[in-house]
Amino acid sequence: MADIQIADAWKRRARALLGNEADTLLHYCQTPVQKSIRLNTLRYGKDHILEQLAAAGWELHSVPWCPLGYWVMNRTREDIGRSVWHALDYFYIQDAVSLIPAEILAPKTQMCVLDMAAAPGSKTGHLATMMQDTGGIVANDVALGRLPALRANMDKIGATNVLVSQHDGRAFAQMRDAFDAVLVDAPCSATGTVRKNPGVLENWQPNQAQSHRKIQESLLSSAITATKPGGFIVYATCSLEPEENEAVVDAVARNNTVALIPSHLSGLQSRPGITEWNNCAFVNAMERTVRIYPQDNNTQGFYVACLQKTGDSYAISE
Amino acid sequence: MQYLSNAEREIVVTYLSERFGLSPHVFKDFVLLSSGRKVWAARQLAALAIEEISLTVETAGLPLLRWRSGREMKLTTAGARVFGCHATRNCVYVSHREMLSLLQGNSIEVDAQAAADGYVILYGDYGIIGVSHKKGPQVMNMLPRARQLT
Repeated sequence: MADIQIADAWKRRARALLGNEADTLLHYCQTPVQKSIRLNTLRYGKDHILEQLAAAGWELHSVPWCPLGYWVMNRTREDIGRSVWHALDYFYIQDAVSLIPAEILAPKTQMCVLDMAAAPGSKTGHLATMMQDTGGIVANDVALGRLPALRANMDKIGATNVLVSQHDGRAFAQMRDAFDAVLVDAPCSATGTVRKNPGVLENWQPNQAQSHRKIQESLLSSAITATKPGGFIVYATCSLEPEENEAVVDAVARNNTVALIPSHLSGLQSRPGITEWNNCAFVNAMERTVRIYPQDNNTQGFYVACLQKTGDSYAISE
Repeated sequence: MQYLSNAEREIVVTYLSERFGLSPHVFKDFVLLSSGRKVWAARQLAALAIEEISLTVETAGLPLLRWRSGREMKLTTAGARVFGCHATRNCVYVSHREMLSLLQGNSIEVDAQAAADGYVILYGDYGIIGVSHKKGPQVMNMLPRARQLT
């Protein structure tokens, strides 16, 4: 177990969210996360990859909510990221919890999809694989310095349907009804990543939960505008803070023609989004969004909401 | 990024056909674009969709080849790994040990008289490794560092 320092203010918040179960959450925050991979079926058949990895002695356990996701169970071997199979692009190293957004968005082949904050490209690669390298994906990121990693990861999986762009995500509001589906993996305070980033909660203060809120709301609004009527938008963060999750979705959904869609995946243990926080009530449909605490699936913490652009007047479907 | 003209596309497709036996048919669903010294291959539908919304993009699709010294074309590692399975000539088989040596950044010697000197696609029992320059038995390691074992 690691010796991870967690600010008292965040411990109080954990108790406010989970009551007595907060101790379990805090315990899990102290343990490292299990390494996981996503098979690269754009390059090789799934059976072939699994056979080769098994023959090489890699013990893999299926991630229940993603057919391409596997946990690497070998604890005493060298890093699988330094193996021949990784060099030959048999798989991509990706946290099991970050396999969730693409599975919920579930893009079809031939769709036109936007990944609004794409770098370094884990979820873009997952989308491209699910679309079997058909249609088109705009993988956008505002940070120029993050594009080389995004580009390299697309080359690695062999995706030819990805177009990389560098725009402020808010600019997509000018592209009304352009995309069949949009993923907003929003910038956030990343409190759910404490098992990988031990320092993230050490000096945590309540105002940090608000620091990204304006941009989060803007990006989600922009995503909705850029989605075709009937299309889906997935909003995700690696934060457990209601201010960055339910509060954002609630504020944006109240001003847009969207419905909140249940975001459950088979095999994934999750909690419904909360409907009240700090004396603010959210729409009841917020329960259709999903909170994932580290102890639920032995992963990092995460939040996901799926919205459908209805094209109706300004009303949220309950 | 700019679309290749028909004449430029013909040059690229002909090179890949003559050097590696890649049928022009392989590229029928792809648009070819250039940016600097690289030629990119992107799904036609992806490119069309982006044209419709007038979005400026940094790159489109996969880097297929690069111009070296301004006049010589080299198939990229990424291009070889995606399209190399359709190649019918100038492909060199390497053993598991040779593959490991390549992935460790070394050049190797091979007995591959069927392959002409020049760029060759290297493949092994586990898939396509990449592209190297062959001169006699010598195969120069041209794998990008990011594709090597570190």
